[in-house]
Amino acid sequence: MKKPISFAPLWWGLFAGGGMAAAMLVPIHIALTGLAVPLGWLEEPLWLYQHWLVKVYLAGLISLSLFHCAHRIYHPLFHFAHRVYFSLPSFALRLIGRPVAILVYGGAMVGAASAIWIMTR
Amino acid sequence: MSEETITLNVTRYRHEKDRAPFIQSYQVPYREDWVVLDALNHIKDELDGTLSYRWSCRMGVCGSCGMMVNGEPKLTCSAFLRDYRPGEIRVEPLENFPVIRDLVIDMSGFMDKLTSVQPWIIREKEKPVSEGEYLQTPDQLDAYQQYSQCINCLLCYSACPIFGLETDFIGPAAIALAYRYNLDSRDEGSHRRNDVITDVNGVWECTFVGECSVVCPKHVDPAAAIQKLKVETVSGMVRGFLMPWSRK
Amino acid sequence: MEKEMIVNRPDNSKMYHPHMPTAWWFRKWSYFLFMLRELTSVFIAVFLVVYLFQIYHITQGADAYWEIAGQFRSGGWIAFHGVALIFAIYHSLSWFKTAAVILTPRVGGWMVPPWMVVALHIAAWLAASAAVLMLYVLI
Repeated sequence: MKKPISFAPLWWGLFAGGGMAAAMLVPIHIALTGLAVPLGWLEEPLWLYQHWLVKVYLAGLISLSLFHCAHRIYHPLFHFAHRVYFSLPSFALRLIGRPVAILVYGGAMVGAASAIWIMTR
Repeated sequence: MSEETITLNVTRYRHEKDRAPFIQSYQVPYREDWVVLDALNHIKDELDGTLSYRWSCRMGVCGSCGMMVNGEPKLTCSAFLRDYRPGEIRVEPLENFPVIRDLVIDMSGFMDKLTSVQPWIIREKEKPVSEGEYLQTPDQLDAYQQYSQCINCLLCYSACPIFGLETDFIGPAAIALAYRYNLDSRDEGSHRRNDVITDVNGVWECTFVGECSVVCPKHVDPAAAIQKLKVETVSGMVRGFLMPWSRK
Repeated sequence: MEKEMIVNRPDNSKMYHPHMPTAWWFRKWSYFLFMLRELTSVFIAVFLVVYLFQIYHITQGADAYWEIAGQFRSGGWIAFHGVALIFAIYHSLSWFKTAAVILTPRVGGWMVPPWMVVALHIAAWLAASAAVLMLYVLI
Protein backbone atom coordinates (compact mmCIF):
# COMPACT_ATOMS: atom_id res chain seq x y z
CA MET A 1 0.00 0.00 0.00
CA LYS A 2 1.24 3.48 -0.82
CA LYS A 3 1.73 5.80 2.11
CA PRO A 4 -0.17 9.11 2.15
CA ILE A 5 1.98 11.96 0.87
CA SER A 6 3.57 13.93 3.69
CA PHE A 7 3.68 17.70 3.32
CA ALA A 8 6.40 18.05 5.95
CA PRO A 9 9.26 18.32 3.40
CA LEU A 10 7.31 20.96 1.45
CA TRP A 11 6.77 23.11 4.57
CA TRP A 12 10.37 22.61 5.60
CA GLY A 13 11.65 23.53 2.14
CA LEU A 14 9.63 26.77 2.21
CA PHE A 15 10.84 27.36 5.78
CA ALA A 16 14.49 26.95 4.80
CA GLY A 17 14.22 29.06 1.66
CA GLY A 18 12.35 31.74 3.58
CA GLY A 19 14.90 31.61 6.38
CA MET A 20 17.72 32.33 4.00
CA ALA A 21 15.78 35.10 2.21
CA ALA A 22 14.80 36.69 5.54
CA ALA A 23 18.33 36.40 6.95
CA MET A 24 19.88 38.04 3.92
CA LEU A 25 17.37 40.81 3.24
CA VAL A 26 14.91 41.55 6.06
CA PRO A 27 17.29 43.51 8.38
CA ILE A 28 18.11 46.11 5.73
CA HIS A 29 14.41 46.56 4.86
CA ILE A 30 13.53 47.07 8.54
CA ALA A 31 16.39 49.57 8.88
CA LEU A 32 15.27 51.50 5.79
CA THR A 33 11.45 51.36 5.79
CA GLY A 34 11.01 51.12 9.56
CA LEU A 35 13.69 53.52 10.77
CA ALA A 36 15.58 55.55 8.14
CA VAL A 37 12.46 56.71 6.24
CA PRO A 38 10.26 57.62 9.26
CA LEU A 39 13.24 59.40 10.89
CA GLY A 40 13.66 61.47 7.72
CA TRP A 41 17.17 60.28 6.84
CA LEU A 42 16.10 58.81 3.51
CA GLU A 43 13.04 58.81 1.30
CA GLU A 44 11.05 55.86 0.08
CA PRO A 45 11.80 55.59 -3.69
CA LEU A 46 8.09 55.35 -4.53
CA TRP A 47 8.32 55.03 -8.32
CA LEU A 48 10.68 52.07 -7.94
CA TYR A 49 7.76 50.03 -6.58
CA GLN A 50 6.10 50.23 -10.02
CA HIS A 51 8.92 48.27 -11.66
CA TRP A 52 7.99 44.66 -12.32
CA LEU A 53 11.38 43.38 -11.19
CA VAL A 54 10.98 45.07 -7.79
CA LYS A 55 7.45 43.67 -7.55
CA VAL A 56 8.61 40.13 -8.22
CA TYR A 57 11.45 40.56 -5.72
CA LEU A 58 9.20 41.91 -2.94
CA ALA A 59 6.42 39.38 -3.52
CA GLY A 60 8.98 36.58 -3.39
CA LEU A 61 10.77 37.90 -0.32
CA ILE A 62 7.60 38.59 1.66
CA SER A 63 5.82 35.29 0.86
CA LEU A 64 8.87 33.10 1.45
CA SER A 65 9.73 34.87 4.70
CA LEU A 66 6.14 34.51 5.91
CA PHE A 67 6.36 30.73 5.44
CA HIS A 68 9.58 30.77 7.42
CA CYS A 69 7.89 32.65 10.27
CA ALA A 70 4.83 30.37 10.20
CA HIS A 71 7.02 27.30 10.64
CA ARG A 72 8.88 28.84 13.58
CA ILE A 73 5.67 30.01 15.24
CA TYR A 74 3.93 26.66 14.71
CA HIS A 75 6.31 24.48 16.70
CA PRO A 76 6.34 26.37 20.03
CA LEU A 77 2.60 26.96 19.71
CA PHE A 78 1.95 23.27 19.14
CA HIS A 79 4.19 22.35 22.05
CA PHE A 80 2.36 24.85 24.22
CA ALA A 81 -0.96 23.25 23.26
CA HIS A 82 0.66 19.94 24.08
CA ARG A 83 1.57 21.23 27.57
CA VAL A 84 -1.87 22.58 28.32
CA TYR A 85 -3.60 19.38 27.25
CA PHE A 86 -0.91 17.08 28.56
CA SER A 87 -3.30 14.49 29.92
CA LEU A 88 -4.92 13.91 26.53
CA PRO A 89 -3.92 10.80 24.54
CA SER A 90 -1.79 11.18 21.44
CA PHE A 91 -4.61 10.94 18.88
CA ALA A 92 -6.28 13.93 20.56
CA LEU A 93 -2.98 15.83 20.39
CA ARG A 94 -2.86 15.29 16.65
CA LEU A 95 -6.34 16.78 16.46
CA ILE A 96 -5.07 19.86 18.32
CA GLY A 97 -2.03 20.06 16.06
CA ARG A 98 -4.21 20.23 12.96
CA PRO A 99 -6.04 23.54 13.71
CA VAL A 100 -2.82 25.14 14.96
CA ALA A 101 -1.16 24.16 11.67
CA ILE A 102 -4.11 25.40 9.60
CA LEU A 103 -4.11 28.69 11.51
CA VAL A 104 -0.38 29.33 11.20
CA TYR A 105 0.41 27.97 7.72
CA GLY A 106 -2.96 29.23 6.48
CA GLY A 107 -2.02 32.69 7.74
CA ALA A 108 1.22 32.52 5.79
CA MET A 109 -0.66 31.42 2.67
CA VAL A 110 -3.11 34.31 2.99
CA GLY A 111 -0.15 36.68 3.45
CA ALA A 112 1.66 35.25 0.44
CA ALA A 113 -1.48 35.40 -1.69
CA SER A 114 -2.14 39.04 -0.77
CA ALA A 115 1.50 39.89 -1.50
CA ILE A 116 1.16 38.41 -4.97
CA TRP A 117 -2.24 40.08 -5.45
CA ILE A 118 -0.90 43.51 -4.46
CA MET A 119 2.09 43.17 -6.77
CA THR A 120 0.16 41.95 -9.81
CA ARG A 121 -2.63 44.52 -9.79
CA MET B 1 43.40 15.56 60.52
CA SER B 2 39.87 15.09 59.30
CA GLU B 3 39.47 13.94 55.74
CA GLU B 4 37.94 16.33 53.20
CA THR B 5 34.46 15.26 52.04
CA ILE B 6 32.01 16.31 49.34
CA THR B 7 28.21 16.12 49.43
CA LEU B 8 26.33 14.14 46.79
CA ASN B 9 22.59 14.82 46.56
CA VAL B 10 21.28 11.75 44.84
CA THR B 11 17.77 11.19 43.49
CA ARG B 12 16.12 8.10 44.97
CA TYR B 13 12.99 6.38 43.72
CA ARG B 14 11.75 2.98 44.84
CA HIS B 15 8.36 2.24 43.33
CA GLU B 16 7.34 -0.05 46.18
CA LYS B 17 7.83 2.70 48.78
CA ASP B 18 7.90 6.10 47.08
CA ARG B 19 5.15 7.89 45.19
CA ALA B 20 7.68 10.31 43.72
CA PRO B 21 11.47 10.64 43.61
CA PHE B 22 13.19 12.40 46.51
CA ILE B 23 16.73 13.54 47.24
CA GLN B 24 19.06 11.72 49.60
CA SER B 25 22.37 13.31 50.66
CA TYR B 26 25.58 11.37 51.15
CA GLN B 27 28.95 12.53 52.48
CA VAL B 28 31.65 11.03 50.34
CA PRO B 29 35.42 11.36 50.78
CA TYR B 30 36.90 13.80 48.30
CA ARG B 31 39.69 12.47 46.10
CA GLU B 32 41.47 14.48 43.45
CA ASP B 33 41.24 11.67 40.91
CA TRP B 34 37.67 10.51 41.63
CA VAL B 35 34.82 10.86 39.19
CA VAL B 36 31.13 10.99 40.14
CA LEU B 37 30.86 7.28 39.37
CA ASP B 38 33.63 6.52 41.90
CA ALA B 39 31.66 8.45 44.50
CA LEU B 40 28.49 6.49 43.66
CA ASN B 41 30.44 3.22 43.94
CA HIS B 42 31.72 4.37 47.35
CA ILE B 43 28.12 4.99 48.45
CA LYS B 44 27.03 1.58 47.19
CA ASP B 45 29.96 -0.27 48.81
CA GLU B 46 30.34 1.62 52.08
CA LEU B 47 27.26 3.69 52.88
CA ASP B 48 24.05 2.45 51.30
CA GLY B 49 23.86 -0.79 49.35
CA THR B 50 20.30 -0.08 48.21
CA LEU B 51 21.30 2.64 45.72
CA SER B 52 20.72 1.53 42.12
CA TYR B 53 22.47 2.85 39.01
CA ARG B 54 23.96 1.51 35.78
CA TRP B 55 27.64 1.37 35.00
CA SER B 56 30.17 -0.89 33.40
CA CYS B 57 33.43 0.12 31.73
CA ARG B 58 34.44 3.26 33.70
CA MET B 59 36.22 4.63 30.62
CA GLY B 60 33.65 6.31 28.40
CA VAL B 61 33.15 3.40 26.04
CA CYS B 62 30.10 1.45 27.20
CA GLY B 63 27.69 4.38 27.52
CA SER B 64 25.76 3.03 30.50
CA CYS B 65 26.61 5.54 33.27
CA GLY B 66 24.86 8.61 31.80
CA MET B 67 23.15 10.73 34.48
CA MET B 68 22.29 14.35 35.16
CA VAL B 69 25.18 15.92 37.08
CA ASN B 70 24.22 19.37 38.38
CA GLY B 71 21.51 19.51 35.72
CA GLU B 72 23.73 18.58 32.77
CA PRO B 73 23.64 15.18 31.07
CA LYS B 74 27.07 13.60 31.65
CA LEU B 75 28.85 10.28 31.59
CA THR B 76 29.53 10.00 35.34
CA CYS B 77 32.75 8.10 34.59
CA SER B 78 34.21 11.24 33.06
CA ALA B 79 32.74 13.87 35.40
CA PHE B 80 35.47 14.65 37.94
CA LEU B 81 34.55 15.63 41.51
CA ARG B 82 37.28 18.30 41.38
CA ASP B 83 35.36 20.21 38.71
CA TYR B 84 32.39 20.65 41.07
CA ARG B 85 34.28 21.36 44.30
CA PRO B 86 33.65 23.10 46.70
CA GLY B 87 29.92 22.99 45.90
CA GLU B 88 27.61 20.04 46.38
CA ILE B 89 26.89 17.69 43.49
CA ARG B 90 23.37 16.85 42.38
CA VAL B 91 23.05 13.46 40.70
CA GLU B 92 19.73 12.68 38.97
CA PRO B 93 18.55 10.10 36.46
CA LEU B 94 18.75 11.18 32.81
CA GLU B 95 15.96 13.63 32.02
CA ASN B 96 13.03 12.90 29.68
CA PHE B 97 13.00 9.16 30.45
CA PRO B 98 10.76 7.11 32.76
CA VAL B 99 12.60 6.14 35.94
CA ILE B 100 12.65 2.47 36.90
CA ARG B 101 14.57 2.87 40.15
CA ASP B 102 16.83 5.56 41.66
CA LEU B 103 19.17 6.51 38.81
CA VAL B 104 18.10 3.75 36.41
CA ILE B 105 16.03 4.91 33.44
CA ASP B 106 13.89 2.87 31.06
CA MET B 107 15.56 2.74 27.66
CA SER B 108 13.26 0.23 25.97
CA GLY B 109 11.58 3.05 24.00
CA PHE B 110 14.96 3.95 22.55
CA MET B 111 15.73 0.30 21.76
CA ASP B 112 12.50 0.11 19.72
CA LYS B 113 13.40 3.27 17.81
CA LEU B 114 16.93 2.07 17.18
CA THR B 115 15.65 -1.21 15.69
CA SER B 116 13.07 0.64 13.60
CA VAL B 117 15.76 2.59 11.71
CA GLN B 118 17.66 -0.61 10.80
CA PRO B 119 21.17 0.51 11.77
CA TRP B 120 23.09 -2.20 9.97
CA ILE B 121 24.41 -2.72 6.45
CA ILE B 122 21.60 -3.66 4.06
CA ARG B 123 22.44 -5.24 0.70
CA GLU B 124 19.97 -5.83 -2.12
CA LYS B 125 21.74 -9.14 -2.58
CA GLU B 126 24.54 -10.44 -0.39
CA LYS B 127 27.54 -11.57 -2.39
CA PRO B 128 28.95 -14.99 -1.52
CA VAL B 129 31.96 -15.15 0.84
CA SER B 130 34.07 -16.55 -1.99
CA GLU B 131 33.87 -13.17 -3.75
CA GLY B 132 35.67 -11.54 -0.84
CA GLU B 133 34.93 -8.62 1.47
CA TYR B 134 33.28 -5.28 0.63
CA LEU B 135 36.21 -2.93 0.18
CA GLN B 136 36.21 0.70 1.21
CA THR B 137 38.64 3.55 0.59
CA PRO B 138 39.82 5.83 3.44
CA ASP B 139 37.67 8.63 1.96
CA GLN B 140 34.59 6.41 2.00
CA LEU B 141 35.32 5.54 5.63
CA ASP B 142 35.79 9.21 6.41
CA ALA B 143 32.30 10.01 5.13
CA TYR B 144 30.54 8.25 8.02
CA GLN B 145 33.18 7.61 10.68
CA GLN B 146 32.20 10.51 12.92
CA TYR B 147 28.62 9.21 13.15
CA SER B 148 29.75 5.67 13.95
CA GLN B 149 31.25 6.76 17.28
CA CYS B 150 27.85 6.73 19.03
CA ILE B 151 27.78 4.61 22.21
CA ASN B 152 23.99 4.87 22.80
CA CYS B 153 24.51 6.65 26.11
CA LEU B 154 21.31 8.70 25.58
CA LEU B 155 22.80 11.98 26.80
CA CYS B 156 21.50 13.56 23.56
CA TYR B 157 17.93 12.46 24.29
CA SER B 158 18.23 13.95 27.75
CA ALA B 159 19.40 17.27 26.30
CA CYS B 160 16.65 17.38 23.64
CA PRO B 161 13.57 19.36 24.72
CA ILE B 162 11.70 18.14 21.64
CA PHE B 163 12.08 14.54 22.79
CA GLY B 164 10.96 15.65 26.26
CA LEU B 165 7.80 17.10 24.72
CA GLU B 166 7.24 14.48 21.99
CA THR B 167 8.41 11.12 23.29
CA ASP B 168 7.53 9.50 19.93
CA PHE B 169 10.30 11.53 18.24
CA ILE B 170 12.85 9.00 16.94
CA GLY B 171 15.48 11.33 18.30
CA PRO B 172 19.13 12.29 17.81
CA ALA B 173 21.15 9.08 18.34
CA ALA B 174 18.88 6.75 16.33
CA ILE B 175 18.71 9.20 13.41
CA ALA B 176 22.48 9.83 13.51
CA LEU B 177 23.08 6.07 13.40
CA ALA B 178 20.63 5.63 10.54
CA TYR B 179 22.45 8.40 8.69
CA ARG B 180 25.77 6.67 9.42
CA TYR B 181 24.58 3.60 7.47
CA ASN B 182 23.08 5.77 4.71
CA LEU B 183 26.54 7.26 4.21
CA ASP B 184 28.28 3.89 4.15
CA SER B 185 29.49 3.03 0.63
CA ARG B 186 28.76 -0.67 1.26
CA ASP B 187 25.12 -0.02 2.10
CA GLU B 188 22.09 -0.17 -0.23
CA GLY B 189 19.29 0.39 2.28
CA SER B 190 18.92 4.19 2.64
CA HIS B 191 15.42 4.24 1.12
CA ARG B 192 14.26 1.73 3.74
CA ARG B 193 15.71 3.79 6.58
CA ASN B 194 14.47 7.08 5.12
CA ASP B 195 10.91 5.71 5.08
CA VAL B 196 11.14 5.73 8.87
CA ILE B 197 13.36 8.70 9.70
CA THR B 198 11.70 11.14 7.29
CA ASP B 199 8.21 10.10 8.42
CA VAL B 200 6.03 11.94 10.97
CA ASN B 201 8.10 11.07 14.05
CA GLY B 202 11.38 11.58 12.23
CA VAL B 203 13.56 14.51 11.31
CA TRP B 204 10.71 17.05 10.88
CA GLU B 205 10.05 17.02 14.62
CA CYS B 206 13.49 18.52 15.19
CA THR B 207 13.63 22.33 15.48
CA PHE B 208 17.41 22.41 15.76
CA VAL B 209 17.94 23.38 19.36
CA GLY B 210 21.38 21.84 18.80
CA GLU B 211 22.00 20.69 22.39
CA CYS B 212 22.29 17.01 21.36
CA SER B 213 25.57 17.75 19.61
CA VAL B 214 26.79 19.92 22.50
CA VAL B 215 26.41 17.19 25.15
CA CYS B 216 27.62 14.25 23.02
CA PRO B 217 30.71 12.78 24.74
CA LYS B 218 31.81 11.23 21.43
CA HIS B 219 31.42 14.36 19.24
CA VAL B 220 28.94 12.62 16.96
CA ASP B 221 26.94 15.76 15.96
CA PRO B 222 23.43 14.26 15.58
CA ALA B 223 22.02 17.76 14.90
CA ALA B 224 24.03 17.96 11.68
CA ALA B 225 22.84 14.49 10.62
CA ILE B 226 19.20 15.51 11.13
CA GLN B 227 19.49 18.84 9.27
CA LYS B 228 21.38 17.22 6.38
CA LEU B 229 18.67 14.57 6.11
CA LYS B 230 16.04 17.30 5.88
CA VAL B 231 17.92 19.02 3.08
CA GLU B 232 18.50 15.72 1.25
CA THR B 233 14.80 14.83 1.50
CA VAL B 234 13.64 18.21 0.24
CA SER B 235 16.13 18.30 -2.63
CA GLY B 236 15.18 14.73 -3.53
CA MET B 237 11.52 15.77 -3.60
CA VAL B 238 12.25 18.81 -5.76
CA ARG B 239 14.34 16.70 -8.14
CA GLY B 240 11.52 14.14 -8.36
CA PHE B 241 9.08 16.95 -9.14
CA LEU B 242 11.21 18.67 -11.78
CA MET B 243 12.58 15.48 -13.31
CA PRO B 244 9.96 12.76 -12.72
CA TRP B 245 11.97 10.29 -14.79
CA SER B 246 14.75 10.35 -12.14
CA ARG B 247 12.31 9.03 -9.52
CA LYS B 248 12.82 5.44 -8.55
CA MET C 1 11.01 -12.12 7.16
CA GLU C 2 10.93 -9.57 9.95
CA LYS C 3 12.06 -10.93 13.27
CA GLU C 4 10.56 -9.48 16.41
CA MET C 5 13.30 -8.02 18.59
CA ILE C 6 13.00 -9.19 22.15
CA VAL C 7 13.32 -6.31 24.58
CA ASN C 8 13.05 -6.95 28.27
CA ARG C 9 10.33 -4.51 29.22
CA PRO C 10 10.05 -3.18 32.76
CA ASP C 11 6.55 -2.75 34.17
CA ASN C 12 5.29 0.63 32.99
CA SER C 13 3.03 1.14 36.02
CA LYS C 14 5.95 0.79 38.42
CA MET C 15 7.98 3.52 36.74
CA TYR C 16 8.06 7.19 37.56
CA HIS C 17 7.10 9.28 34.51
CA PRO C 18 8.57 12.77 34.65
CA HIS C 19 6.77 15.75 33.08
CA MET C 20 8.47 18.52 31.22
CA PRO C 21 7.67 21.87 32.87
CA THR C 22 5.88 24.42 30.66
CA ALA C 23 8.66 26.95 31.29
CA TRP C 24 11.39 24.53 30.22
CA TRP C 25 13.16 27.17 28.16
CA PHE C 26 14.15 29.05 31.33
CA ARG C 27 16.10 26.08 32.65
CA LYS C 28 19.12 26.46 30.42
CA TRP C 29 20.71 29.44 28.74
CA SER C 30 20.94 27.53 25.44
CA TYR C 31 17.21 26.69 25.56
CA PHE C 32 16.43 30.35 26.22
CA LEU C 33 18.55 31.46 23.24
CA PHE C 34 16.72 28.88 21.11
CA MET C 35 13.33 30.27 22.16
CA LEU C 36 14.57 33.79 21.49
CA ARG C 37 15.63 32.66 18.00
CA GLU C 38 12.14 31.28 17.36
CA LEU C 39 10.59 34.46 18.75
CA THR C 40 12.47 36.61 16.22
CA SER C 41 10.06 35.27 13.61
CA VAL C 42 7.11 36.94 15.35
CA PHE C 43 8.74 40.36 14.95
CA ILE C 44 9.78 39.61 11.39
CA ALA C 45 6.24 38.47 10.53
CA VAL C 46 4.68 41.65 11.98
CA PHE C 47 7.18 43.77 10.04
CA LEU C 48 6.39 41.90 6.80
CA VAL C 49 2.65 42.51 7.23
CA VAL C 50 3.23 46.19 8.02
CA TYR C 51 5.55 46.52 5.01
CA LEU C 52 2.95 44.83 2.81
CA PHE C 53 0.39 47.35 4.10
CA GLN C 54 2.72 50.19 3.08
CA ILE C 55 3.45 48.66 -0.32
CA TYR C 56 -0.29 48.34 -0.93
CA HIS C 57 -0.69 52.08 -0.39
CA ILE C 58 2.39 52.90 -2.49
CA THR C 59 0.91 50.98 -5.43
CA GLN C 60 -2.33 52.98 -4.91
CA GLY C 61 -0.39 56.17 -5.68
CA ALA C 62 1.82 58.65 -3.82
CA ASP C 63 -1.13 60.38 -2.13
CA ALA C 64 -2.36 57.16 -0.60
CA TYR C 65 1.16 56.47 0.69
CA TRP C 66 1.59 59.93 2.29
CA GLU C 67 -1.73 59.47 4.05
CA ILE C 68 -0.45 56.47 6.01
CA ALA C 69 3.30 57.26 6.08
CA GLY C 70 2.95 59.76 8.93
CA GLN C 71 1.81 57.29 11.55
CA PHE C 72 5.06 55.31 11.28
CA ARG C 73 6.94 58.36 12.65
CA SER C 74 5.35 57.81 16.07
CA GLY C 75 7.59 56.71 18.94
CA GLY C 76 5.78 53.40 19.25
CA TRP C 77 6.45 52.36 15.66
CA ILE C 78 10.08 53.58 15.78
CA ALA C 79 10.58 51.53 18.96
CA PHE C 80 8.95 48.48 17.39
CA HIS C 81 11.13 48.70 14.30
CA GLY C 82 14.22 49.22 16.47
CA VAL C 83 13.47 46.04 18.41
CA ALA C 84 12.52 44.21 15.20
CA LEU C 85 15.85 45.21 13.65
CA ILE C 86 17.80 43.80 16.62
CA PHE C 87 15.78 40.57 16.44
CA ALA C 88 16.23 40.37 12.65
CA ILE C 89 20.00 40.74 12.97
CA TYR C 90 20.00 38.02 15.65
CA HIS C 91 17.97 35.85 13.28
CA SER C 92 20.45 36.44 10.45
CA LEU C 93 23.51 35.58 12.53
CA SER C 94 21.90 32.46 14.05
CA TRP C 95 20.74 31.42 10.58
CA PHE C 96 24.24 31.68 9.13
CA LYS C 97 25.56 29.64 12.05
CA THR C 98 22.89 27.03 11.27
CA ALA C 99 23.74 27.08 7.57
CA ALA C 100 27.35 26.25 8.42
CA VAL C 101 26.19 23.03 10.08
CA ILE C 102 24.16 21.96 7.05
CA LEU C 103 26.38 23.19 4.24
CA THR C 104 29.78 21.52 4.48
CA PRO C 105 31.21 22.04 0.99
CA ARG C 106 34.32 20.25 -0.16
CA VAL C 107 36.81 21.76 -2.57
CA GLY C 108 38.75 18.81 -3.92
CA GLY C 109 39.58 16.80 -0.82
CA TRP C 110 39.57 19.85 1.47
CA MET C 111 36.55 20.56 3.65
CA VAL C 112 35.75 24.26 3.91
CA PRO C 113 35.82 25.03 7.67
CA PRO C 114 32.48 26.14 9.23
CA TRP C 115 33.79 29.58 10.23
CA MET C 116 34.56 30.26 6.59
CA VAL C 117 31.02 29.23 5.56
CA VAL C 118 29.67 31.68 8.16
CA ALA C 119 32.07 34.38 6.91
CA LEU C 120 30.95 33.86 3.29
CA HIS C 121 27.29 34.16 4.33
CA ILE C 122 28.01 37.35 6.27
CA ALA C 123 29.85 38.78 3.24
CA ALA C 124 26.86 37.95 1.00
CA TRP C 125 24.52 39.47 3.61
CA LEU C 126 26.48 42.75 3.71
CA ALA C 127 26.63 42.87 -0.10
CA ALA C 128 22.86 42.29 -0.43
CA SER C 129 22.13 44.93 2.23
CA ALA C 130 24.43 47.41 0.48
CA ALA C 131 22.67 46.75 -2.83
CA VAL C 132 19.24 47.51 -1.34
CA LEU C 133 20.63 50.61 0.41
CA MET C 134 22.00 51.84 -2.94
CA LEU C 135 18.48 51.84 -4.38
CA TYR C 136 17.42 54.28 -1.66
CA VAL C 137 20.53 56.47 -1.75
CA LEU C 138 21.35 56.71 -5.45
CA ILE C 139 17.97 56.62 -7.13
